[in-house]
Amino acid sequence: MEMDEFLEVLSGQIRSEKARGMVRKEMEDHIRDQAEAYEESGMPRESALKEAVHQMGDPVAAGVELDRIHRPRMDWSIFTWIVLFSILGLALQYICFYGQAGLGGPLGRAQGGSMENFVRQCSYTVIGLGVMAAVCLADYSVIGRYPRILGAVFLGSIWIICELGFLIQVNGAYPYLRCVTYLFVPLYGGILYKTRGKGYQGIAEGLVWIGLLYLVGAGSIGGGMGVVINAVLPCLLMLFMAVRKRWFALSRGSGLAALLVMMGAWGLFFVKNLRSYQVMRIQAWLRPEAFGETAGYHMTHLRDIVSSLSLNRSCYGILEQRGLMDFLESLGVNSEFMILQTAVSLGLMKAVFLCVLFAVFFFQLFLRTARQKNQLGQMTGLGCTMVLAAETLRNIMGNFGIGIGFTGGVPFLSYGKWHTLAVYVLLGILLSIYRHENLMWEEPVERKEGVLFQVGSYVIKIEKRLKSSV
Amino acid sequence: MASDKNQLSGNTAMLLLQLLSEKDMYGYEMIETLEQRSNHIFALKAGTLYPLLHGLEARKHLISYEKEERGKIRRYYRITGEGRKELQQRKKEWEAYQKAVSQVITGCMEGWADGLWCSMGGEVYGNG
Repeated sequence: MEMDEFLEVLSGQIRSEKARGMVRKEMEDHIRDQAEAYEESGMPRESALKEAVHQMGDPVAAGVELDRIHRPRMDWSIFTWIVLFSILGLALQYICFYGQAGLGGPLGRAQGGSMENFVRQCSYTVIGLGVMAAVCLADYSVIGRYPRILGAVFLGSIWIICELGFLIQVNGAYPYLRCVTYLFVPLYGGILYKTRGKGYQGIAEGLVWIGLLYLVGAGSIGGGMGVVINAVLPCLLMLFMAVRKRWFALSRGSGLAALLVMMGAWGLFFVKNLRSYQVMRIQAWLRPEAFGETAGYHMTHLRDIVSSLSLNRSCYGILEQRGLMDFLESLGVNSEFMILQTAVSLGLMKAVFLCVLFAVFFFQLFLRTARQKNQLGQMTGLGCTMVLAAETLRNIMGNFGIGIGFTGGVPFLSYGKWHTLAVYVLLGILLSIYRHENLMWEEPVERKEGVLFQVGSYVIKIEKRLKSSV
Repeated sequence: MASDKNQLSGNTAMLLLQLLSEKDMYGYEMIETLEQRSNHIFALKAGTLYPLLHGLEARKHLISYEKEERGKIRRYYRITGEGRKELQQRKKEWEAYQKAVSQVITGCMEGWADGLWCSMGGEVYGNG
């Protein structure tokens, strides 16, 4: 059998296109090494190659075995978690909000409490699950191949849509687009992957992309702290992680020092350009009591509701007595207070149990992401998980009046087309990463010991002087 | 037959993990080293080696990476912490198996195998 025929037969048994290429290359290298050894022992070239192919064994048996190892594997456990959480989310929305806002219910005047909205949310969830399945079946590694183009098109499109006013503005901004910025985070994983081995230039590029995300998310969309905490912060943590993993071919110390210096300059610019209303909001988060009737209004009322909660039953009666029902109704469906609505309607224990379920779910996601051997998958998966976890944590804290800001969604429980889709796309990317775990190999970063500074192909390097024997 | 095949691949996997616990190697190098160290007893086919290596990598016992050496880019394999634990476990199982086989062949009961009594008894029995 000729080498090409052997490789064709073997790789023909492997269904995954991605695995097929890498296995074929490894086998070809092996045959060539073996043939070279035969040639060195005096065998003619052609016979050496034929004998080397013969020594490989049965190509069909090997190919079938390799196909078994390198086939995409769906993570059914996480998929089941997602489907069950989706059902639970809709059930809780019905029981604790739409059911209560219906005719004669205690939340009768709540904003957006019509059954029409519930049916709409059910359809968003079904569409979201479909989108998640499609993303899961797709090859996520495209993120690592064209991240800059994808990132630029993504941020550029949002900027154009917002600047040209294609969509409806709410209070001079597009708050419903805030969650769309989450989708930049997996792309950022690809950008960092692409800047591996680029030294200080790579770190600077990483920060520039974060700056662009901030400008589009907080500036054009008007997403404020929601964008900063749910999208910018995960990107920043990913950058730290990349430095720690020595992706930039720098020692951890010099990488970290460079990142902190660059961030310091960026932070100074950010703080100097804070607007007065932003300063007031930060002060209100720190001391809500001092801003009880203005910026701290929500926070103080939320704390009043929390102090009225019962452990195992609803507390509508107590809220009525304390005159807090108007405030609860004003939160409505769009204000993302489903966890608080659960605590009010079913008791604090049920809401705590819900939070525990979220914690277990995110722990599972983090665990699977950390186990990824593929670096692109690990970084991108970490970004997606951090976005979902940060949003949930911020929402839980905000719901109980202890958070930094109070608006922003929570996966599976929040109303809205954009938010639902963004969450399921992130989950789809995570499932795709887990599914392709054994299919991808990658090139290692070339470690450049002692590199002090690098711009393009120019390098300044520190080297230890060798002692002269003379 | 299935258990025979599993046992065979399990033992080969142990040998591969042992080689990689000493240094990182590429596939061809592993076959060569194994053949040399076993006095040409173990002539592993590449068709057997790579599914084993890829399986060990999928189970996180190994990681692989590409490295250039003498102008050739090769895929090297490196044992992980989990791989070292697996190797220790397989070595223990192998020693127990070897001991059991040796006891059956020499006709010694459990507890006699590694003592002087066993060999003396064997000789006495043999001479008798």
